[in-house]
Amino acid sequence: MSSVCQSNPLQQFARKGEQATGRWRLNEGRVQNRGGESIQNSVENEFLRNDESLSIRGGNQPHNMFGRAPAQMGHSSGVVEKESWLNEFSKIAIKDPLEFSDRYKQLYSNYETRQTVTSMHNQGYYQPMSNMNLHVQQNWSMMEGQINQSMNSQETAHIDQAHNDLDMYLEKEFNDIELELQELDEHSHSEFASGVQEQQKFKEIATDIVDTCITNNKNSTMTSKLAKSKFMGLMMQISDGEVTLKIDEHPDANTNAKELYSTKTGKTVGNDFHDIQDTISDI
Amino acid sequence: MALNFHMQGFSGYGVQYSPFFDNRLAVASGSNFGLVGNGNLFILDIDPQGRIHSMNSFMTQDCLYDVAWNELHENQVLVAQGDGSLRLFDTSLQKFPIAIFKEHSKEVLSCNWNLINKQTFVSSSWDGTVKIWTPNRKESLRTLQVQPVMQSQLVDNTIAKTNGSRGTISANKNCIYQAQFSPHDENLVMCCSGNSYVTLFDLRQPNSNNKQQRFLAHNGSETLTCDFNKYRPTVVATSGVDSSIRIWDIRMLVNLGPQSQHINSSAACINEITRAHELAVRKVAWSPHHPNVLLSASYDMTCSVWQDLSYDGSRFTMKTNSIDSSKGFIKRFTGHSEFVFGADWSLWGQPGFIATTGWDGNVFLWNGLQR
Repeated sequence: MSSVCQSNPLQQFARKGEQATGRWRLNEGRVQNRGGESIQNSVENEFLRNDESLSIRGGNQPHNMFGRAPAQMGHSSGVVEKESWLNEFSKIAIKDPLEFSDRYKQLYSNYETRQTVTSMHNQGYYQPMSNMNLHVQQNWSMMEGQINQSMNSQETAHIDQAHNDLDMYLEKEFNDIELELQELDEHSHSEFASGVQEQQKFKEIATDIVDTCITNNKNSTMTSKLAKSKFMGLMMQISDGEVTLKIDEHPDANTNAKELYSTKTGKTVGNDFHDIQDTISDI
Repeated sequence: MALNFHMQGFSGYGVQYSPFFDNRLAVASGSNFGLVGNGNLFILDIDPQGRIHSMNSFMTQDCLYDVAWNELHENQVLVAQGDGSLRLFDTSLQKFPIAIFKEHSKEVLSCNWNLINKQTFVSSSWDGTVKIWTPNRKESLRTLQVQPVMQSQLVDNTIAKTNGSRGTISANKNCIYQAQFSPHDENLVMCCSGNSYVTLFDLRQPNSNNKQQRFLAHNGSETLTCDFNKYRPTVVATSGVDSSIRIWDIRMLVNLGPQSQHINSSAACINEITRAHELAVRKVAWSPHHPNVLLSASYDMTCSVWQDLSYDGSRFTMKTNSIDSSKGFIKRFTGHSEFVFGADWSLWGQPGFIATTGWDGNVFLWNGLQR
């Protein structure tokens, strides 16, 4: 049936489409010719060989390519003609305005590299790290970043390099832990210093009580009564520095003083403290 | 004549007669005058020969500052502890409490059981809060925040200066020394603070400062103690560092919300016993048998019983204790050799028996109405 007699416009459109088959299929990534499989392979091989130089060629503009290729593809009369077109076509330098920049490609490549490392991490490659202390775990993402930075500079995912970085990182973390322990030690000393301050404050309060109740009290009856008081006697001893709060120097100890002691003899003044379990009876 | 029990190594802070047994008392105490160390709850029994012996005792991690019997259970007694907790002990058990209520961030200084709704008790603390609890829950039912002391700076600037107050607001402004349920109204709570104010809370109202009724009780001096009269629902007594005892009618109070510009609460004071003691008064308690008799315990190591001369037992007399040469004084007990902190009237037997305890470690039982 001729195209003139073709009444169905859809069928006419389909027939026109068949004429442009070569083009569409080229776009699909494979060159196919109605002439046969052997021709197809030789042309394809040649095309692929020329493809190596595709990216470094310049000069030809995209509109030139689109101006020639469809016309040539429309002919299916000879293999030689087809090969010559392909040679030309493969030598064309394509400059795609939608193509990603080199910078983006590099970053994407780095991203793919990272995916490789992360995958290894998830598979337990860095499993020993999970046993590190909390501080190290909290800084895991920082360590990853350091490893990735190192990999970016080399643009390859080398596990050995990651190991080196990991070693360096661990050394740094261990140093930090050492530092923390030192600070903890200093903190315990500062707690002891606050205990000393507490003793000093305790002494000042005792002095105030003695001054208010005895030294500055004009009521002689009350003064003599207070002078006999054991509590006031203790306040006077604390005021004179003979008795003070017993501060436990152990870093894990509760800083609240539980006993009084004599600064002269070192013995406990008053009641010994008994640690009582903080629990309830079963009823 | 007085009966005596000595708590070796411990100083008494609070004492209360059992509401179930006429011969039983609970005493809260602390080591080293309550400054540092353990506490101890003593359950004391009086035998027929008039001797007091320890029926049970519970040592605690921190000093104990107050005690209150459970009004619903004859064996349960509550203590206020220095570590911010309240503990409920069963006197038939040993060593450990049966419940711990821990929410206060500082020392709990007082606890009091509700005499009407016996399911609740109240606590007050150095942290500036009053909490309402029930024995069945670890968490408090409600926390009452006394109006911040910023509002009370007027005291320094106006009241204290104009009245020539002896005292000044101390560093313990936010410390709530005592809180108490009204024996007439299960929803009424009263507390007294280091900022000299006495605050009244109606638990039926939302917890808002605007709803607080409070009055400056002692001219800027710390108000250390307060108590509801057991017969007159609107009458309360307060005392503190200025060593005077004041009696108030809470019907005459003015709502001192944040918007209020006026502080004229002093008009509500209906009677005063000036210089009732040589030093600060730590405890006042109305008699459970008489509407016009009250007890005071002081840092001057004495306890005194007073008659409120503004009331004759049936009506107001329009008099004050100032008109009397002895200021309504009935009796003074001088048996203690250290500060007296705790005092309670006996509900049992002949009216007038009193239990007192102090830093000398002694618990004395004596008759305050026997001259």
